[in-house]
Amino acid sequence: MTMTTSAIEVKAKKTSLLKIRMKKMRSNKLATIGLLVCIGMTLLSVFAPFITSYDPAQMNLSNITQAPSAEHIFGTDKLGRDVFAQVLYGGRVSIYVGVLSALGGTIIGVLAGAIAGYFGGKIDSILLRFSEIFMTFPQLILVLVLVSLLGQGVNNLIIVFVITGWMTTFRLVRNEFLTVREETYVSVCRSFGIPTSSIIFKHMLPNTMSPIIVAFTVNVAGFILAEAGLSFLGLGVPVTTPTWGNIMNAAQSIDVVTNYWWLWLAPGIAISLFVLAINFLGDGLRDILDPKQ
Amino acid sequence: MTTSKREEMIFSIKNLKTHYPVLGGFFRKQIGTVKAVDDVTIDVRRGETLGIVGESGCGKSTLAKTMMLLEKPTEGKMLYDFNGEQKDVTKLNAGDVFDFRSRVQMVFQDPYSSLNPSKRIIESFDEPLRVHGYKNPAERKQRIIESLRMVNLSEDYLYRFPHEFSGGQRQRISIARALCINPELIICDEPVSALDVSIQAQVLNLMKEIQKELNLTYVFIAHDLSVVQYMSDRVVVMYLGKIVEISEASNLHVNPLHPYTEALLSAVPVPVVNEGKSKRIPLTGDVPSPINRPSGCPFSNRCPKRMDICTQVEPPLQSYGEEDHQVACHLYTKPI
Repeated sequence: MTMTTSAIEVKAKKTSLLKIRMKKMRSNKLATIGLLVCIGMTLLSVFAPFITSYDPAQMNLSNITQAPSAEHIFGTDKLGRDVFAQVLYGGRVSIYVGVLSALGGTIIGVLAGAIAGYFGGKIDSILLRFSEIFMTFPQLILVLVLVSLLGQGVNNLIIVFVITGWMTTFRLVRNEFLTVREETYVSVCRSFGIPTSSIIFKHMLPNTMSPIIVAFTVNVAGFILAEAGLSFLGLGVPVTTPTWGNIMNAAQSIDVVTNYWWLWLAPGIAISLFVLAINFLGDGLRDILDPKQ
Repeated sequence: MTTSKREEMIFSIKNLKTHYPVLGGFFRKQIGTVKAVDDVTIDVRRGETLGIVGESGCGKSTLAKTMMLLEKPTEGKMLYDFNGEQKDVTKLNAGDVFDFRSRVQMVFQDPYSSLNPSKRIIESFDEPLRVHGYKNPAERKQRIIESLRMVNLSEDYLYRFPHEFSGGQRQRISIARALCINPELIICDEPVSALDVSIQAQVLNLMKEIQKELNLTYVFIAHDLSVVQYMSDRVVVMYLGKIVEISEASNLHVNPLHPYTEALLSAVPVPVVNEGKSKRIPLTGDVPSPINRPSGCPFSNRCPKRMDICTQVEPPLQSYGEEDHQVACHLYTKPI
């Protein structure tokens, strides 16, 4: 009896905290816009087949490089494919690569950073040197080497991004843990004999969450841009898979840039809009999730 | 103090040393040692309040952390009385350390960082209780409410966040948290130094009441001699990692022996000016660095009563007058 009432109480209090955060979210206009744009663009990509009847891979050689019209609202490319359909379907892969790479990098960075920051000493030095090796090696060359080793492909690209992109989160989390470690409540936990894993992940990690979330959103944006850059160079996802970067690949020649603006402007705007939106969202989340406010 | 009380030691610290290496240079070689706690021997008796006093940097907090097994001692023994069986807590296995932690708890100095800012009060209590064998959530909640009542806080506060409380309330919550697993000994590391004077008195009186009610033993650390004297049965005066004097609290202000204790006592503000002793003993200079301590008596470079022997030979801690009054000073060294 007492148990059920207390459980209900906790639930009620928890929702009230959620309500406070929702309210903070709504009052932060930029973050709300960012969130809506992110969700909107993701949904458009996911439900692409319901939005456009064109197949992004369907070539139509009698209808190449058409300027935007009512029939093809973003025009067609050099093979007569519908650019609007390509941008929609391309968003699937681009967002998938960005989010999954950032997630992987964050998980590795948080684990390594928490361990290095909490224990310090030798473990810290080893992990720090290890991350420095990755950081000092030219990133692009590392990516090229890994892509040529693993082969092109969406999942291989994600693996490459995770391997080359965990260091910033690692450094951030390590520094946060070095600060939080000195807080008295960590000593309190230790003097109660609470297990170390619980101290790190249940007591310290929640207090370092807001910079981690901001770093995560920045990473999503960064990986989407990196994917676009690599695909533009022809090193990312195979050209047969439409991604925002692959569509822009067509704009490598100066002829396309000057004469067929819709080929690069549409995917370019899609990338910029998504990256901008996710940055706004990350900025807003930092304020919203801060427990001290 | 009765003899029966004296016989029952709860925690005896023998020749405890906590030293930290000072690393320097490109290869981080050890270039020195900070002797934060150096050869300290204290007996804590069951049911008493043992006060430890000394200025900042004298090793009080390191001593407290070492006693709580938060810092590793370099040398020495710490014998704790586990139901009549004395065990050296520096050499315990993990299970016995856990048992020790259920018997000894600590209240920390900073009430603002001793509660996790992202956790509600109930969450800050819940895990320690769960870890210490309170399996039933309803029982845990009951236990939390009881501990909060003990420090005069109502159960309405259970679901609040720490930032909603004042410093005094937070310190009371910290005390309640230390009490919730039913310890025998509480180490209080400057529990009131961060609080307003009016709140200090309130918290101190509360702690005294709780001690009487639960029959607790306190090790009470402070830099404020008047606070320590008010709380304690016996007082240990520390200087630069060493004990310079141990005395009954009631006797200390009447008959201080060590020149450092005299100087400390003379610095305690008196309520009425020009009444009784009002002459201050000013100390010149700073506390020497614990890396590079003076030879002989650690206090020798600031002592107004310095003799030649003081800079050469370190005075041992000896009884002087009554058995319970010990002092480390050449003024009282018995001629050999």
